[in-house]
Amino acid sequence: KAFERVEKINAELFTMTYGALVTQLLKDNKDNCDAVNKALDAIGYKMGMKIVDEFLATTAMGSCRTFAETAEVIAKVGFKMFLGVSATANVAESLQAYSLVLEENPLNAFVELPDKYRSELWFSNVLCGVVRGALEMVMFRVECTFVKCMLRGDDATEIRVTLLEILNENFASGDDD
Amino acid sequence: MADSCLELLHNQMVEYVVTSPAHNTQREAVYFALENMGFDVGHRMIHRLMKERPLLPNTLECIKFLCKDFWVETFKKSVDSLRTHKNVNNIFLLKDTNFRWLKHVSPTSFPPASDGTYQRSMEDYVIFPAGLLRGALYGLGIQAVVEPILGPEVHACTFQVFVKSE
Repeated sequence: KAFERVEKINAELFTMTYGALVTQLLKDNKDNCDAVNKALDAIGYKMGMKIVDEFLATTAMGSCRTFAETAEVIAKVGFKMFLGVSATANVAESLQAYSLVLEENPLNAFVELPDKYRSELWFSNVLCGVVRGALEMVMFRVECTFVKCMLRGDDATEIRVTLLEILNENFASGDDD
Repeated sequence: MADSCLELLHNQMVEYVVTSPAHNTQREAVYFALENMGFDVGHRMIHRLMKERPLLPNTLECIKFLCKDFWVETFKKSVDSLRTHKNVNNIFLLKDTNFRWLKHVSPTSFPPASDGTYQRSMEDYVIFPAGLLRGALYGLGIQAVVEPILGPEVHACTFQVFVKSE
């Protein structure tokens, strides 16, 4: 329902703008895909840190008590609200990791990757950054990586999220005072 | 797709271009990169928007289309005023008094640039939109130069369109 409360935009416009950014990054990094993946993750990270405010304000959702709970919330509410599609969350038995599977990825629309990028570029890597940045704002430091991408010929889009540490909300005051 | 995503993406795009070593030594490079991305997107956008529509008869109708339909599609509102130049008939001034992508940008949040690099300013946030307009016009068969001018109100921006040829 939260999706109905946010103002929506033409998804094509977002997708084209994102595509233009990826093209520019490839140019700036002289086709070094590894550097482009990193740059997209960094851009997403800063977006995620800001997106979380809007998410919390719109959904008025209480905080997740456990890391595993964040999986469903991101998959069903977060992705739906911002990207317009929901994901399926598969939580690992350890409860310390999960994967998010998207059957369709709007960022991929109108995109066809030239062969030279296919095995190294994670075109939608900004999503990993967004998830990482958003989770860090709610005190879960995670590692987030792409596992599958339809542009590479995989059957779905899959992102792996692994918990690294739970950050303490009561920050030390820094000095000895 | 949530509207805030596009604005966030645009903000990060500007930040990236301004701080990236590939462009950050001079204003021209920053302008060129952002304007080109905008051109590319505007050009593609107009093609999709015009697909099901009849051709627009003349330059003025094209400009009006951009002020309304295109602007609404992109910025969720129409341009507030369209003026033509008194003596010159190929200059159009499109003024948005409350430009959406400027609303959450504040100059006080820009970190000072390190030596020899380009200092970010409010103006950097209207370059991509100017490119969008130029790209859209190009898609309608009009070659133009688009110059964004900030102010005088805080979130206002006027896009000056100088039509070179039709």
